[in-house]
Amino acid sequence: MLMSGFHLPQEPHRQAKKRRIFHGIFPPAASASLPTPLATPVGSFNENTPLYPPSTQASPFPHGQAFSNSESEAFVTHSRAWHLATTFLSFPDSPFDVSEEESTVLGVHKDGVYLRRKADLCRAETREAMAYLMTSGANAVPGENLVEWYTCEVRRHFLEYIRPILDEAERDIAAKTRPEHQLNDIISQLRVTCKIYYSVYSTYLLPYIAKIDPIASVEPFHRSLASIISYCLPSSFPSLLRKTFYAYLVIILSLPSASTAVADVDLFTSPHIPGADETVHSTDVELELEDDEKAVVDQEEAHRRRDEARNAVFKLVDSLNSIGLMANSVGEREFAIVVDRVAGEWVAYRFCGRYTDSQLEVADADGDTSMAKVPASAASAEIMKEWLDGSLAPLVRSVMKIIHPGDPDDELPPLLNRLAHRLARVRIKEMFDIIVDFPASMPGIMDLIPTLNTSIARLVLTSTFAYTLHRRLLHQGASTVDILRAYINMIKCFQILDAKGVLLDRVGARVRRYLGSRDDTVVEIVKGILCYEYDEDEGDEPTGFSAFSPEQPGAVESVTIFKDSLRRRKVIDGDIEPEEEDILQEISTELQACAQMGADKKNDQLGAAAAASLEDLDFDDMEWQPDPSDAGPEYRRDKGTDIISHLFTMLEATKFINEFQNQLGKRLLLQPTSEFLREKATIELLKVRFGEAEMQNAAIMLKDLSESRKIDAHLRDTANRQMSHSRFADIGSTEVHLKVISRLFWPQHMITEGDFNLPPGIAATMTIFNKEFETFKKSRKLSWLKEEGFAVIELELSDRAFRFKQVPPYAATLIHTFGEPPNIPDPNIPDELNGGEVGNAWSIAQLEEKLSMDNGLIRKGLEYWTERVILAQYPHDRNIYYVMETLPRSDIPASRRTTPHTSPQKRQERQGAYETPRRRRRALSFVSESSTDTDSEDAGTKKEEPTPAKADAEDDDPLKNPRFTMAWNYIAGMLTNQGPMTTDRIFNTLSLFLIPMGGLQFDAAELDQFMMKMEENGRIDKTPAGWKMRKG
Amino acid sequence: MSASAATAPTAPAGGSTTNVTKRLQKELMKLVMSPSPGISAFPDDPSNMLKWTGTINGPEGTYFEGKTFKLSFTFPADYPLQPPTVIFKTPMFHPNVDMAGRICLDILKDKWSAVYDISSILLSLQSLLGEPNNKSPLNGQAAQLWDEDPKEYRRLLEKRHQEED
Repeated sequence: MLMSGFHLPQEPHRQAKKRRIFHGIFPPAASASLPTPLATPVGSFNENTPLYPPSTQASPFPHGQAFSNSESEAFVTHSRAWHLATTFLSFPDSPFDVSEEESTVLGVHKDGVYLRRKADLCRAETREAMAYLMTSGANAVPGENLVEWYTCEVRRHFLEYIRPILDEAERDIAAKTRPEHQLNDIISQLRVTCKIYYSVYSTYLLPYIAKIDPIASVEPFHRSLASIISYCLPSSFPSLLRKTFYAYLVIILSLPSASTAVADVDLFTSPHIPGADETVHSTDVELELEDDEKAVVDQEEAHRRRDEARNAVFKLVDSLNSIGLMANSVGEREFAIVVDRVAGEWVAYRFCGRYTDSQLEVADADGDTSMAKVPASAASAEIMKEWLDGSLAPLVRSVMKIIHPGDPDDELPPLLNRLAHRLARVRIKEMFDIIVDFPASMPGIMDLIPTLNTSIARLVLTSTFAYTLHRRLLHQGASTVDILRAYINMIKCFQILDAKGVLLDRVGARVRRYLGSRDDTVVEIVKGILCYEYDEDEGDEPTGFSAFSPEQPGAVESVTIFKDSLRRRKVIDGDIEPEEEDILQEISTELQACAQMGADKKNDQLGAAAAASLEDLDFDDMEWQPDPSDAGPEYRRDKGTDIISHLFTMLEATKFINEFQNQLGKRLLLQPTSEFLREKATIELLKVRFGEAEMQNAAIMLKDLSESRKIDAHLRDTANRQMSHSRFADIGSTEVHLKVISRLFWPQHMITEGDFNLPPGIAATMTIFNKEFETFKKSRKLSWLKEEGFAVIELELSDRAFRFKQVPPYAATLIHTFGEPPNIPDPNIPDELNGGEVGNAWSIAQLEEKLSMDNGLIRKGLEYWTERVILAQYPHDRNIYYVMETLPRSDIPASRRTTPHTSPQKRQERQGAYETPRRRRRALSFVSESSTDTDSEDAGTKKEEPTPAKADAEDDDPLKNPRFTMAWNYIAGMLTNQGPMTTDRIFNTLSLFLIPMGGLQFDAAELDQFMMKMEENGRIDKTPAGWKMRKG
Repeated sequence: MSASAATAPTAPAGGSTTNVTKRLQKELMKLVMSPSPGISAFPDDPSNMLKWTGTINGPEGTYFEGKTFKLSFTFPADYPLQPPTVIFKTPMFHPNVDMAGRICLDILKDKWSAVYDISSILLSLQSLLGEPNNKSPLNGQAAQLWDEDPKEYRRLLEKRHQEED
């Protein structure tokens, strides 16, 4: 065979192995595709001696006319020409050797080995034969077109020899090779093959066709080859391509994933890797480098990798383009997919979780003016545009130039648009967090607006958000306050997104339903409405205690003294702070804000609502608009648009009003003031929404309180005068205040009739009040609600003192009782409780007898004081309680406690409102009282005995001072671990840690003294940064 | 007035850290009330109990005698089901501690159990100082020098060790 020489002499290892395997499966059939009968002697044709019939002509092809004289002659000539041409043009029965072809391509010659050999073999007669076939012969025998044959030959060769290689490459994917390597293998195989196909075609056939029809003749071959290639491509080729593109783009754009998954992608740009040695070298040195140097090296390295990756992309695109796989084909498609994907990833990486201004960190706030309409969105848009112009766009543009050389750069507007959509997608996912952080997250909302212009986009937003809501908010773990707060923010956000309220309607319905199913929704909302506190510490408090009022100079004086004494004694505020209750202050703020809008606006609204029902019938309304097309079935156009009405329409009006009255009542009775200006304002606002009649009770409740103030002043005046002559003269400074309430208009459950014996001083005052009230308000009587109201109490124990501002009356009575030991010692109370170690002890039975208080109430009161570590339960008899005069300390044995016995010294000051309707009258009957009592006996004792604490303070070893023993353990831990600290800081930290243990028993100045003593004792040192543990 | 009992977490979906806080408060109480010599720990910030600093004194008769070492504790929200992250803040030269202060100690990894607490961690670490596990070193140089060249070990330790004040 002529062409035996084409069998490639030496193959590289891998290829050879592959081929061996392949041939093992598909035995090579060398003779299978010979173009024409073997018998046809080729040689004779070459020697100008045609076999049959002998021809006289010198040349067999005198411009193709020699054969025309006879058909048979023509046939013979044609057959011989055909044979020659096809033999020459046919391809070997094996794939081309990539490495050999590639290596020569890199070399001097333009053509590969194969082509050069082919050129060598092309003799004159072959040329003539081809020329003959291509010019005249083609038409002589229809159907035997050489071009067609060549196309088939290419197809045959490709299918038979190249396709198996591609398939094999795909099978290799399962094996370890990396995507870019496989891709490289496939592409070089294809490139070499195609180059040969094309070269042969263009060298030997094209010149003839081009004469006939230059364009039409290239196209079919081209198309045929492209289609057969894409038909044969391994199914994994697109994904390979995608992976590779992705790996490169990630590096080029320095996306965060570049450092992890695909960091080690082979860039192919340096085949023999001259840089590889450097890389290894530089990692060796790395440890020695300073951080900043390392950063520079890293940066350079990253820069180099970026450039390499960029070149690699161009190279890849180029080779894909050369085999027709780029333009309008799989390559372009995959590239587009990857560009879209990295753009999306960048958006997610850049914007995810950053939706506030500060998080976005935009330097130029002024932006360009075209964005002025949506100023906040400009920030994100600017960032995206900048990035696009800076990194992605140039790359895409260059690639597009390779693919479609002629096209103008019109790729970018859609890209920016894509980014905006990607951003919207990120924001939609984050919608819940955006809402939680609402006012700060405004830019995030603005990002959404431009893309919410189709109903699909709106649907995606609402359904995604509804899902998140369901998962993150509407479940048992979320507190009602949190849900309400989120709902309020939701209303605000969605009103910005969609003023018509369709979106809110869609997502809000679910929240409203859920909130409706929670019992405490009403409670929380009312709490929110009534949340404002009266600050008692305000100096010029106009609504303060009535005792402060100027018409009672005596009281003022006593209060001043009292305050002074507080300061001296460093009394601890003993009220247990309710665990930082989460209250929806937003509601009352919103209510006020709505009030600002003014009454006329409200009238407008009412008018509008009335008009709304008629609106659909008003055919002259030129402003009429249909409901938005994506509105839900429950959508109502004219629903109130402010937050308060959203919240209120969710509730049943009666439920709300009942709850409001309950909370208002409690509040009125527990606040030390009697002028409730803000409550008044609130009620006025609510009247607008619920109607005057509904709020009548609440209004009367308030009125009771302001009446009370007058009555209280009058009664106290009288009582003071009377008492000064009575045997209770010495407790004249005791303050008792009353609040008179109208039974019928207050929530019935607040009117409890529990009765017990109040401390004698108070009881006496109350008797005076009773009498005086009957004269003051004819035919009405006071009936005391002993369980309502509150008392202000100060307790002094031997090692600590407390002031309680809101003690329930029963508890106050109880602790007052503990001020003295029982008259008749209970045999059940063991001696150790009556000895000097602890304070007074009472059994429950004794208390019950003395106070005639309900057993349940007594237990409740005892618990109240036990919680506050004032009383303790005797461990061996649970019915006995005793006063904890000193706090137990684990580090000092009980026998060594040197606490002298002192009874609790108490001053009680009470203010209470007690009321019970004594008779069932329709008329308003109301009473209130307040009382103060001072245990003067105890006060006397106290002065005589110096407190143990003071005595201890003089001691040499500061640690012997019981007040500091426990604190010192904490201080030591703090200083050892947290380094030096100043006294102030120690004091603050300590007070936070020691609150559960009963609070601090010293102040900052005392602590400072203590610390100085500890320094003298050599435990700590003073440094500029504060106290520091001494070593050793 | 139903006082809602639980402190509502600001993030509604957030789990309760109250249990962790309670447990850590207990541990603090234990550490403060019955301190063990040579170890100590304290929260960094009273409002966040999940971060602590601990201190251990180098055990006598070891290279670390006379030195003190600070450690930072970071407790996960499901402590004590998961171990805290413990890191040496004081620069350390020890076979089982790497240059960043990370510690290789089984009870801080797979052998963790909820019965351990801060003081048991600190005690384990203290004993680790005296008896390193040279078979799985994080710091190969230290492991090598530990037995072979005490002098060099001491020199490198001194070079690295610095107490912040």
